[in-house]
Amino acid sequence: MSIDLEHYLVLSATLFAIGLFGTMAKRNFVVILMSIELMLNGVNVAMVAFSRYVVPGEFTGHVFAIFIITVAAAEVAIGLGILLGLFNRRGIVDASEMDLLKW
Amino acid sequence: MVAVAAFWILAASAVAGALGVVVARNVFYAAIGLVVSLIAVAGLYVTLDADFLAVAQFMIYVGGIAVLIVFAVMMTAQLRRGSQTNRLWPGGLAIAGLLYLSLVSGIMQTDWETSSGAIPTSPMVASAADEGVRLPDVLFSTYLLPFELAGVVLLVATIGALVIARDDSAPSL
Repeated sequence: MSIDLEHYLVLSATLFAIGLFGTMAKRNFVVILMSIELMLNGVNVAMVAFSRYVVPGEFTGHVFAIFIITVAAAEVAIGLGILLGLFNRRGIVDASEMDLLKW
Repeated sequence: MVAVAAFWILAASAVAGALGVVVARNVFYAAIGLVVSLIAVAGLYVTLDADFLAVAQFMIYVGGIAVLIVFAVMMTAQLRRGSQTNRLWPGGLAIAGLLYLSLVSGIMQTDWETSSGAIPTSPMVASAADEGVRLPDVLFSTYLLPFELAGVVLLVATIGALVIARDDSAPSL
């Protein structure tokens, strides 16, 4: 048997679903950030697989993946900044205790 | 044959690492699972002839983001609560499972128009005489404006993270 586009797409969907579950079900803010990274990685796998199997030699999916990696790096920097700010001022890392904007 | 074996090993590692992130009770073990998953995805990029992306994934995710996350885990380690699930985790599991099933059935039922044309050799090892288009040709012509905007996004994120994480009680310079 050979490896086709469907294999990569199912793997991508698996990573995305696991990340989605972690994002919705976890309390620790750091673990939520890690789950978001998993989702972005799953999307990247699909992008590169489409680029390789549908339009080989055009690198469109590669460019998308590079921009997704860039935005993911920016998102982690901001997310961890918010985490450290909240931890320093209020001593919480639990996302369900972050209710500063609730009333 | 080697490519098939490589795909299955890397895919199993990626999924196992991802499961480790959501299952582990210890936040540090979750970070280790994330690193395993990211390295496996970098290997998958190699099997997809995306050498540059594999190296970029390894340097940015494994070298940068993973270190940042481990650093954050250690900064907040005083709270020994671990990685718990919230009250709504069965609903989250149901939503994620439903999305997964619908995605997989959609993938299986779609007749993908894959190209049977010649698949070029890896872009980074292609000889200079090869007239085929390469990744930098696309990135610095068609996508030049998004490329510059990505730089602006990184600059704004850096300054924003510094401002947010700054300790107000520290004496200002």
